[in-house]
Amino acid sequence: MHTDVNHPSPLTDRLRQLPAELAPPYSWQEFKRRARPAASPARAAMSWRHAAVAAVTVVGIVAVALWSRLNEPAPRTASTPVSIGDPHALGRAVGGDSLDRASRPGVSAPDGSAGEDSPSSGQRRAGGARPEALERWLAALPQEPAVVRVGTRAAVVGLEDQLAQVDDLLNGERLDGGGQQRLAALQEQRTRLMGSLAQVRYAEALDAQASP
Amino acid sequence: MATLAQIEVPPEVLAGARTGDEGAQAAIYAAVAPAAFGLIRRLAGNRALAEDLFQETMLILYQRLGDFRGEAPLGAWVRQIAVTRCLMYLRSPWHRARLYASHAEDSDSWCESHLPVTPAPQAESLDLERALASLTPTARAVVWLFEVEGYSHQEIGQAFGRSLSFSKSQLARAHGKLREWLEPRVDRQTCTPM
Repeated sequence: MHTDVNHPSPLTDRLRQLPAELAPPYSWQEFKRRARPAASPARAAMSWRHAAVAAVTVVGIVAVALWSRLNEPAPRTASTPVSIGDPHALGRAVGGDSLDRASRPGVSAPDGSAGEDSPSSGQRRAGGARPEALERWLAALPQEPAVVRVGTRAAVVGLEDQLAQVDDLLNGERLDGGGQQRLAALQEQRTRLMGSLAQVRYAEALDAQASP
Repeated sequence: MATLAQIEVPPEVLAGARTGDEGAQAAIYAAVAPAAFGLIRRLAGNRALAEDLFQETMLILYQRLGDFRGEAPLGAWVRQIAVTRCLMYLRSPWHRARLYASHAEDSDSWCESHLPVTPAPQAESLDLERALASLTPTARAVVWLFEVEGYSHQEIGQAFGRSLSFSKSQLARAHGKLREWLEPRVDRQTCTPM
């Protein structure tokens, strides 16, 4: 403890007069309810590294879903069945060329279309099938997210691609004198993507620190 | 109004809580939660973050209640847990990344999420709240720990894993900013994120 507590300055005096107590965010009952899952053995066994990896997976999926919603809606031409066990099939179904490319460097898509077309034309072709495929895939997952170890390269490349695309769209809108609403929506999307990218990179940094 | 460090709990309540008596545990929650949340809110700034840190602090309190030896008031022990949790967060790289991202937020929403919600604050205390909110989280924590909680520079330096002069320089700069803020000026913004 410091020694000048008995001779406070006027500023100190004012600081000490501020309320020291605030109403807690929830009652004892609610605290108990929230504490229950955290105290269960399964949760206790999960390390922060596992949590970081799980967060990366979720962030990647959410970023793809968000990006798909920003695009213009297009009529659905065909429904592509998606196998949960095959992430590459999912990547193709959702038009995630960059995801597929990043996870299998040097290998082109089996149908040969991903390597030839630009990402934007690929996205236009996939159109409305993308959110539906993602929704079906998410619905088929177990209720509680499983903790798995995945690489972050695909997520990082995907997010960087999306950022570049948003930047292009922003530049185009600004040059064309686009509407404020559209600009604001793009800017908001860019902020979200930057946030997701920051989280993934942070998880990578934590993992790198923890690895011997 | 008692500060967190002054809050004491009767030994029989403590003994009951240790054996799992829910009534005793609820009594401890009622005694320490308002002051604990008040302190955490000051140190963390952001309300959502403060709620998370509060939850962690209270969880640790019940998990480690058996380790409490009763040499000081229970509130002082809880304060130690709360301060440690908050400073761990402030030192983390995740917090720095989040702080950087929060620069994109507009002034009004930033003020809303960083000012503690107190019932009908007086104009003077509201000014001081805004001045505190304008400091960086580290500077605000140093000011609060030194001026209100009575920590020494040595203790603050240790808590942050830094030197004694770190605490002194943070405090001196924060004092300068607070005085500047509290002096009347016409061209100043209502709240400036740092």
